[in-house]
Amino acid sequence: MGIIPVSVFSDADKNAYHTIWTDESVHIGGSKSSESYLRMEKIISAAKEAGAEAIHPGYGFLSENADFIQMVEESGLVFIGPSSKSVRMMGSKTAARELMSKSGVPIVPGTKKGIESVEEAKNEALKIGYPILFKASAGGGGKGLKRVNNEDELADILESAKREAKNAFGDDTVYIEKLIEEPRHIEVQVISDKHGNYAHLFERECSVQRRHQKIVEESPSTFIDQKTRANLTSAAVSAAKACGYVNAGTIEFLVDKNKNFYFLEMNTRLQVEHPVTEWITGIDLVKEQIRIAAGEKLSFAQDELKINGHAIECRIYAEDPANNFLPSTGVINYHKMPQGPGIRVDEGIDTGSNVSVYYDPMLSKLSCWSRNREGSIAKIRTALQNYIISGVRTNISLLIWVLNHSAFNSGMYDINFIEKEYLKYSLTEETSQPGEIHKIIAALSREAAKLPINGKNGKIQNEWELLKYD
Amino acid sequence: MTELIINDGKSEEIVLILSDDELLLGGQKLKYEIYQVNPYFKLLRIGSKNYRFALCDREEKSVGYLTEGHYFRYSVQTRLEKAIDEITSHQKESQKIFDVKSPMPGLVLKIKKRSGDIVQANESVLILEAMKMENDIKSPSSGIIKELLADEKQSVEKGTLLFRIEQLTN
Repeated sequence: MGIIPVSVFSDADKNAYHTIWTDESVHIGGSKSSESYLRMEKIISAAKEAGAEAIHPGYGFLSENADFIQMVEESGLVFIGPSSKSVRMMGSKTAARELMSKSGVPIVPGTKKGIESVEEAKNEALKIGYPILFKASAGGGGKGLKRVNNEDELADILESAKREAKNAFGDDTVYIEKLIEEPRHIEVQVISDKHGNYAHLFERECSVQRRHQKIVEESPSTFIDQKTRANLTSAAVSAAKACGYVNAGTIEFLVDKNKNFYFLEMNTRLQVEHPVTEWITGIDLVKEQIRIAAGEKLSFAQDELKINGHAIECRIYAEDPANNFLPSTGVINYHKMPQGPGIRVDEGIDTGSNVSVYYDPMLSKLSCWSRNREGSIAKIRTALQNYIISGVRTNISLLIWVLNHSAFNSGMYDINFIEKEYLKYSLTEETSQPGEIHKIIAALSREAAKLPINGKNGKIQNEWELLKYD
Repeated sequence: MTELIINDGKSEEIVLILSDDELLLGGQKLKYEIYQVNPYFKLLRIGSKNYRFALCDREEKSVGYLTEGHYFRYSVQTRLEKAIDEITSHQKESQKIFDVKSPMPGLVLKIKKRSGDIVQANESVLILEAMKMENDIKSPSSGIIKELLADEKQSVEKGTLLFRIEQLTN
């Protein structure tokens, strides 16, 4: 696009990947993000100092911070993303829920206020339909969260939910929400320009999660049919319109086993998993974001888009599957990325990079495209096996486990998939290499460090030295 | 020839590296080739089969490596190292006086300390040659060498008392 990128960096990121590969970079403070990447005024003055015209916030730190966006707007710079007003509207969960409800976007059914009596609870539960959840109004972290399967057990559970809420938060107010069983997390990419044009770029299936963190995403979803897709995407566009949204955003839905979907929240930014959408639509979302921010119209019309093939993304994290997924830090001493048609790596590291304790342990994102789902599963599995990151532990073995699992392959899984299945499994048995090979590798590894580079069995083989020229 | 005991935490297996290109595993003799692509990435070839692996950690008695996206870690010890480990770990529990015995038959090659010397934990006291390998026999604890019973060039049997360390109390 002929744009010169300028990055900002902290002490820890002086020679980080993003710093190295941008044409200019401005130092903005200490390694802790509170001293650098979260300092709004520093970032804005860095942009001005470098003569930048616009700020792209990426997908962490301040990317969904309405105060920051407002500050950018007031500074005369352009924010590559939605307006602070839209972000504020969608930022409050309760306000967003109300706005969606008014705009005809389905939300998880529930009571708006606290439950006063057992009778009231029974009436509301009957309207909503069992199973239901009692949730503490002041709550969080699972406290005061109780499942009720039928009317007989309601009174006792209400009492205990109130008690738990009182003990945990000093407030015994609880409300009712429908329990979505075996839900899937399916989201829709939307995009809009400043001229009132809206479009969606289909769905992303993000039900493979570990501790509420997505790790494998795919598009299209195997779970939804044409009719559901039409309803889901049109609800997503309605949601974007309701908050006057401009630029790229994502509407997240919970989808139950009967394909009913409910608004969860809106991510008012570019998402980590945007490559799968780029693969199946051929649209460069970041390029589109920049064009929109510059006042241009969407470069395509809705009816020009169709789902082409199938794409999967795996998030590679520096964490140790054998040690309760503790983040792993250290220097990457070897980084070799897989390649081939339909393989993409969005990497944030290279050989020699230091993985520090300061930031998110995501190292890179591997995504693959193929003409169908079987093809992209096969491709990304091979790519993962050929992806070498040494120096820190990674979750690659967990990702291979997911791709080999029958539930994932059949497409019949929900957001509890990893929690339900992973415990049964021991990681170390899963390569195709027979056990004795491991013993041999281990034995030879002890001696292998002594080998010269490109040598065989300790003898340097430089055949140029042996060649005789006439 | 190097005899290595490979332990994955559950079971043990012995790999006998006979030479640069031959090893013995489970009574079976195998031809192998090993190439170093770069300091961290290696190729093992057995017959016509290629096995790629990246060395991640290499400590004195253990290795960790990555293959096909999976990480493995094994303890890799010579018989002597294993025996020393067992003796010293046993002795650590009974404290105060540590008797260091020869873990296997061998020849005392060199004695590095004298009786009365103060040594640190894991400091080498003497070198024992066994199975054509030189092995440091280290002090299991910091302390004073109370007695040094071995002589250079002395052949010792398994269980021969080599030296005795008295732990220093602070």
